[in-house]
Amino acid sequence: MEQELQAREGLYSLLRALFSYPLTEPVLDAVASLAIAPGSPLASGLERMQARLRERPDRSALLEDLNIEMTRLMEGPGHVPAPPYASFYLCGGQLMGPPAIAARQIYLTWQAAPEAGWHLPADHIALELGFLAYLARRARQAPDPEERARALQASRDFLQQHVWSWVPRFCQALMEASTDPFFRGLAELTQEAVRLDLQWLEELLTQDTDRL
Amino acid sequence: MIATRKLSRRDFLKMAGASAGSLAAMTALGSGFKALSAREAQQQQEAGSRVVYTACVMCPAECGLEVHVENGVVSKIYGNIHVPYNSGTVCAKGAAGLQLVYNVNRIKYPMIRVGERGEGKFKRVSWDEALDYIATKLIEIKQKYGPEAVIMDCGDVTDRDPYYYLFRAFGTPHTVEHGSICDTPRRHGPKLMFGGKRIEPDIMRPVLVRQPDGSLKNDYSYRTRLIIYVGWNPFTATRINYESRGTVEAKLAGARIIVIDPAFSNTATKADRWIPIRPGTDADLFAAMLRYILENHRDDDPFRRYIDWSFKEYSQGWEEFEAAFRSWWNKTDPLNGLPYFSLEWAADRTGIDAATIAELAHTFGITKPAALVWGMNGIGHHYNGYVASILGTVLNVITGNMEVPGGAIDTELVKSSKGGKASGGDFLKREVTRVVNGVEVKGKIEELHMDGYGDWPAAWDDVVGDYPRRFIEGVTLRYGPFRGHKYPIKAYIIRTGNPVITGSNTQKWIEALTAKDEAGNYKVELVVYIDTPFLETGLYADVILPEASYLERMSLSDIYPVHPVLYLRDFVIRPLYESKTPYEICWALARKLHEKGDPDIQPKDFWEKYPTEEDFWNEALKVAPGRPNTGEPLPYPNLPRGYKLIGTPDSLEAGRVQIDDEKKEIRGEPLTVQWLREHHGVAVWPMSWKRFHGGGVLQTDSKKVEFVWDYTVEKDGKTERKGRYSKYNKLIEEAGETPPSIARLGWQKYPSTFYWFETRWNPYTNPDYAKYRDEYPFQVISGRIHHAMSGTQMVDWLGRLPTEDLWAPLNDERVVEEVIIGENGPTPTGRRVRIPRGTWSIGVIQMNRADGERLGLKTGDLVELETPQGFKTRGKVYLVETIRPGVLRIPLGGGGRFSPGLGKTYVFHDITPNHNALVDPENLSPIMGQPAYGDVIVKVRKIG
Repeated sequence: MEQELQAREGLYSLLRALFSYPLTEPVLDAVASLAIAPGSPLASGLERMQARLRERPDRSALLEDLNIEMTRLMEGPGHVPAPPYASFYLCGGQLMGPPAIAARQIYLTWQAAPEAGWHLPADHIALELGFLAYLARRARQAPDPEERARALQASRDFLQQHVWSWVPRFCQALMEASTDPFFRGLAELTQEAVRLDLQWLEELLTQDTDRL
Repeated sequence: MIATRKLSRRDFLKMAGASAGSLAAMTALGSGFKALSAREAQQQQEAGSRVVYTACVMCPAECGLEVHVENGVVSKIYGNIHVPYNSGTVCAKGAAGLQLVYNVNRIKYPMIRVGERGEGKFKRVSWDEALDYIATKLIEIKQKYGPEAVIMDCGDVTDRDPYYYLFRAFGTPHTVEHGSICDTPRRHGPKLMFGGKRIEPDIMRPVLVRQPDGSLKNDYSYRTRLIIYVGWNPFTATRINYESRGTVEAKLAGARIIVIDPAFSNTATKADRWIPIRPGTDADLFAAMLRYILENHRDDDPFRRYIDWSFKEYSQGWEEFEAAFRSWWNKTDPLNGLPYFSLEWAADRTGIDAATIAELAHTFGITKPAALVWGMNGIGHHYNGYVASILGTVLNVITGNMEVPGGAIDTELVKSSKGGKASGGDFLKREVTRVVNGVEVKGKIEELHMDGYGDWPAAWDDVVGDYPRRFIEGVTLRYGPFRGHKYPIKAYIIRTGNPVITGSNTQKWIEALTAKDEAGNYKVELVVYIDTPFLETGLYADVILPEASYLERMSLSDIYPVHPVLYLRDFVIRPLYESKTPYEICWALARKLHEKGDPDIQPKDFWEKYPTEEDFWNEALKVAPGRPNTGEPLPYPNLPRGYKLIGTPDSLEAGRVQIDDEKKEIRGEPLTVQWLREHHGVAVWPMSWKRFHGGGVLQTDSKKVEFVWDYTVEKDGKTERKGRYSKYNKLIEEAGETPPSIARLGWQKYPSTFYWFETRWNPYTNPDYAKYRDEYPFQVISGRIHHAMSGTQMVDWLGRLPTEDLWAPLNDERVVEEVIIGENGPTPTGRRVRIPRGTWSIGVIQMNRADGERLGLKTGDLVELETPQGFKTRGKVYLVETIRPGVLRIPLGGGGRFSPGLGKTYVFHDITPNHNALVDPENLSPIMGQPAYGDVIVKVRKIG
């Protein structure tokens, strides 16, 4: 259990970093060093990303390419092919809708705030995934099973109500808009990680409560 | 689709080979979240609602707003009832502001170009990197070419002061605003004769008026009997909010409204009469009206007493003007052989029959109070708009309509002052040295101005009209101390503007911004684009900076009120993403320049002097209202008449003032941001009329209305040159060189009184172009579209709505993402759907139905327009009865929009017309150098 909790925290931390501009060397190192059992649903996306890293050994040139592509896909200027905000998908293409307000309230309920302040809408993918990493750490470090269960339940609820409702559409947009295997892999990895974690949490919290 | 695979949850996260080390490395990347105390978390909740008073910028009307914020998010936008300018109203554009602030396409982060200019390839960078790049380049350019090689274009909203301040301190005289390339010919008459800018009807209501019993009361009465709008469409042009509701109210109160416009505009729909004039002949009409009035005026006949001679009490030079005007009457027009300014002459040229012109002149002369008002898309856009503007001003003056209740008001002269030292004007007076032809020369920074001391000595108000040509050719100064000094334009910084689409010819702009030297470097070494939306000019930028949207920044607003009214633009929400306010951007860039050793940028002028944004704007407020205590009824009867008023309305009202008899100033308590916040965001001082009648608002040398512009006066035994043109004529005489722009008109220098010259590219009035009449049978004019100005087409709510036969549902079929109405409103489903033909509004070419049928066209046909110079654009025709035959109208900035930042408008850029693709880039109007957008003729060819 400890290992799974640690793995969740690590995975969400990595995903958060992968959606936080700019990509940096430590982030790519973490992608490169990650190993997942063959056949895991996460393996395919990860493999695409790692292949891209292997194919371009000049790390700083690769980072430059990836950051330019990331700028085009998610940052702008102007048309953004894969907007990384829940509200875009849930509120008619407009940002700062009810999902952003709700996300902020949930973060604060858990006495958590983005280190960089609130200048990004709270439903940005990096914040939602970062909050899941934060909750994963809270679960891992929980002093007792009740507290751990509370953190895991919150993770499940947040995933169900706030993440799963839009992340597949976002990943789809990312997949379609990018020709770079790194981001296509990232889209796949993200969607599968969120899906499987939600499944894992549901089973844990309904069938395997004794493991808590 | 991303395939999902079935697998046991037990396998999830089974990172078979993941070492503890790699897992630790992942975890070390962190969640990006920090833990708060319970108290901190409580403080950061944005629950509940609040109201902020601020000012709009969805268009340059900048109405006062009351904005509601719920849970930290802007929820509703209403008009601010306390701002009399819009008096609680807000238009569709203003109400749609949420879609701009929360638009997914807005610029969110600083960017640096990584591809070629125009390619649209950028990399997001930190503010530090972006500012470092800009500061390094600016200092390099300054050292190599001088700061005059830098142009800071501060755009079309009123909160330009931080940019002016920084770049004037940096040392460039080229801190300009959009007005340079918008409508300078239109403003010329009021500028020359009053020192003002814009004549508007006295229909802003309510106005705060002193009552006989000494109290102040809001006056809602409309006294106007007649308004003639010429090429001015306040119902869609949206620059002056009160003119749309005020025109309707005035009409209900009995006023007659006449609209003179080639197209049946929205304003025309509410008018008593629409007169479809031939484009570019407004000056002809005004000249004929003036001649008719002069010939037919009778002092002893109440039905023909057109002229109110009392104007002579507050004017000078009428006799000279009249004589110069009359001197044309015996000459005949080479094209039609008729005497100038006669009714028959004007009828031949304007296409309006002589009887109608006579009736119009008579009606205007006899109906009082009245206002003759002209606009930017007409007179402002023609080569000879200056002549029309002067004649229109004269007509308002001699009929006694200026400054009478219900008459005409030059709003520039009576609005509140603002800016003061915060505008950085003092920096322009610094002395600098340049080596010209091997000789060291001293002069002021302002004397390095590329137009004012170059080809356009009358380009006052820092106007820079002659770009982009100067980007390619460089500058040679002809006048002033630096005569002979040559320098290139090496940096162009554009903020809230889009000249590639709305300034001069589009292709010429692209050519200028992408021109390279022999070494393959861009000739304009630095292009910076600062804005909230991402428009076409941004595609050619090296650096993009995200400016906070209008609901995220602070400044002041005061658009053309009829008396001093000043209101605050306040922080409704904090800037989103990494956007910064103009103050933050300028102060951060100032720090960078200072760190890199720019000697002109000193802490004492910036962060030490104005450490907070509020300090800066308080400086700008110190000069308000800055207008004299004058007119009837006197605004403050207990304070000395004619003295300049400074301070809050309540301190002046209560007499909490210091009176300086030497300076003739009354100083109350200074107006501040805090005071405005405590008073619904607005300061309103009392209205008065008859402020020309010895009142001291006129800004001419004589403090009177001037009909002569270069004259001499004797003072203390010395002869002094006076008048608006005298300064420029002195420069010309000293240099012994006539500017090429006016040499082309056959002038040696600027005329001292009435002058006449023809517009260009008009085969019906200018003999040089008569040969094009048959082959190029259409004149092209532009119209503004209410719902879709240049910067707001990214807002879907506005983009899709039809406007005035210029923006119509003539789209062809396209496939876009499906949107349904879900629990949270419109919701994309992720599926792609068809936009059926004819269901989405796009920019079109408005054409008279008879013309269309003659050419075998029907509405929706794709045509190509081509000018004699071979400039082309394409679009769909929209056949209507409501435009003069032989005229085509295109929305300015409404088509050919190739920035992907514009959302669905961009999708249709290949079938929508770009007006400025047709504009002759060499056709710069001769006094101020502005492109003559309205002088365009074309032939039409069906292509689909």
